[in-house]
Amino acid sequence: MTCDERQAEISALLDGALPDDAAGDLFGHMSRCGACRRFHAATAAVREAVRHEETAPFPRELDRRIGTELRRVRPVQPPDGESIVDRLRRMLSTAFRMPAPAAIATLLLALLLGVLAARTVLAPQPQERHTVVVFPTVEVAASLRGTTGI
Amino acid sequence: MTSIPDIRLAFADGSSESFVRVYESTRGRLYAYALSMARERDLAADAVQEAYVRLFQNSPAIASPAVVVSWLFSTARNYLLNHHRLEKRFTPAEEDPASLADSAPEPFEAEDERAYLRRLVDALGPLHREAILLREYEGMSYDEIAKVTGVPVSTVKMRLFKARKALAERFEKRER
Repeated sequence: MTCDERQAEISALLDGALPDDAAGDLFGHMSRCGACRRFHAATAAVREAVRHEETAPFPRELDRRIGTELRRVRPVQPPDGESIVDRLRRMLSTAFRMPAPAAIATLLLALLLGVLAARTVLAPQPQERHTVVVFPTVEVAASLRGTTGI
Repeated sequence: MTSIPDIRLAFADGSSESFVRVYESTRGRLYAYALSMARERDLAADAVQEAYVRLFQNSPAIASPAVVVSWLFSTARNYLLNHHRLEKRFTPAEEDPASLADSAPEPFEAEDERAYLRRLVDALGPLHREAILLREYEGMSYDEIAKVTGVPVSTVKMRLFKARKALAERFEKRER
């Protein structure tokens, strides 16, 4: 077996993928071969250093982007047996993109403002005073009859 | 964490837990992998988004949680691969990492060993860099790497060996 083949075994050894008997044979070879010992030491050092390296941080705005895309690709389906309250809460939180309590508070506030506005519009307006003059037609006619002799 | 509600909101019916768990535990790793392969933040972000959107759409079909991670990596990888093909930048042929010994960057004076190693890994060709990333950074098994990359386990072993050999040779030179 060549040193290149032995070093392929060293690579497998580091991954825990070398059978025990082959590993024993490999260690026997390494005790006699400086090149393979150096390869083993360097590869183990590289592996150790790489494993402890910090990775690039996940960009927070990507969460938002993915969340938006998920909502776009599949509309939310109401689960079976959902109560009206739960359904309303879900619809509100989805529609307003805010937690359900905040959405309900917003809705109530909107309703209150609507009622106030309606009362203002529909309330009776103050009317002008009209003096109704009722002519005493009958009496006038009677008096006229008396005076004119009709 | 303030950003996860954005993901939860997509599951207002309360079925979000399993997806959010997978998302929280894999998004950092998936992004790091995509960024290492793409070397462009926007492209890496697109690949990560594509992977989670597809998981979202296909989650009932992905029965086993054990395969979710390799499925996500594979989906992001395919996205990058298609993009590179479209851009005509991808060379599917097996590259020879031995050339790294000649072309690898020289260490800066007083450069941290890990930083130098990272630059050596970055200097590997995409297929060997990918093998190192998935094995050493992600801790994937040969089988998992084979699933992600769509090649036999024997090819995975060979890529890892060649990449390590190139890295070790360069690393040894620096140590002397």
